[in-house]
Amino acid sequence: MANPVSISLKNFSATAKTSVAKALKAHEAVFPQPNYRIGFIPPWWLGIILDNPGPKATLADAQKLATDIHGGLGDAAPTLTTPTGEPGVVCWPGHIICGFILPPDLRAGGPMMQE
Amino acid sequence: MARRADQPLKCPSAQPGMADVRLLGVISRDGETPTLAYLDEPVAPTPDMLALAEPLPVSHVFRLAANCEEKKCHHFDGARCQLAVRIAKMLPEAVDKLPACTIRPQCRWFRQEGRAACLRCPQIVTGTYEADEVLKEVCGVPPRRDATPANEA
Repeated sequence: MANPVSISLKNFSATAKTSVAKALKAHEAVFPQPNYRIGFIPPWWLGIILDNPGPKATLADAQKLATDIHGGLGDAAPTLTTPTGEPGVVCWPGHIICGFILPPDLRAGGPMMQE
Repeated sequence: MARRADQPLKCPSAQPGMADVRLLGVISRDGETPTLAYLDEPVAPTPDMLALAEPLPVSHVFRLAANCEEKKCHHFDGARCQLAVRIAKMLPEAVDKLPACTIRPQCRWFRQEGRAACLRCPQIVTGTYEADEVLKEVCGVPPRRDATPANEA
């Protein structure tokens, strides 16, 4: 069984860059012909479906588009985005959050949305 | 200074924007499966640090810790974090000794599940596209009723 891994702050940036590069490579292998839905998760789902994005559209492209839209919405309509909202791309078999997530009754505009 | 028992418990799989966010570590992809590399000191993430995750969501590249939101979180049942319960019960151990973790004394998962949570913690990636059926169940995703792919993620 593996030993736990620790890194120092000095190695943080290099480790992060390597992680991103390898994750993107893995995603491209898994989703060569993606069917993207772009949205903000959690607490809102505001989805945009890109049908047939074409073989040259990468997950990175879709994520950048989601981030740009999220940023634009944040400027134009701050109440639509919250500090806990995160731009994301959902594609088969689906984006999973293994961690904090708002309950359904709060996702549609509960107390946290008012903060 | 607040006593340890008075301090809020920390969620070790938090999201940006939550209260008192700390960088727990980076998801290392050097091995066969993604594994958390724990930062050896507590760090409050700067926007520049989080920007290193682009174009991926922060939750795919980093593990963040933040104050446990308790009833504002889908996994809290009023007394316990059920995500931690399922992780301890359903996932295999990922390491054979406790990781050097900077939040353990305040960690909600450790406080509830003890070392069983810590030995499984390194395999958790907060946001992922690559969850298998067990991990989906751990995360609380209801099983699919059909095998029709793609349009209803």
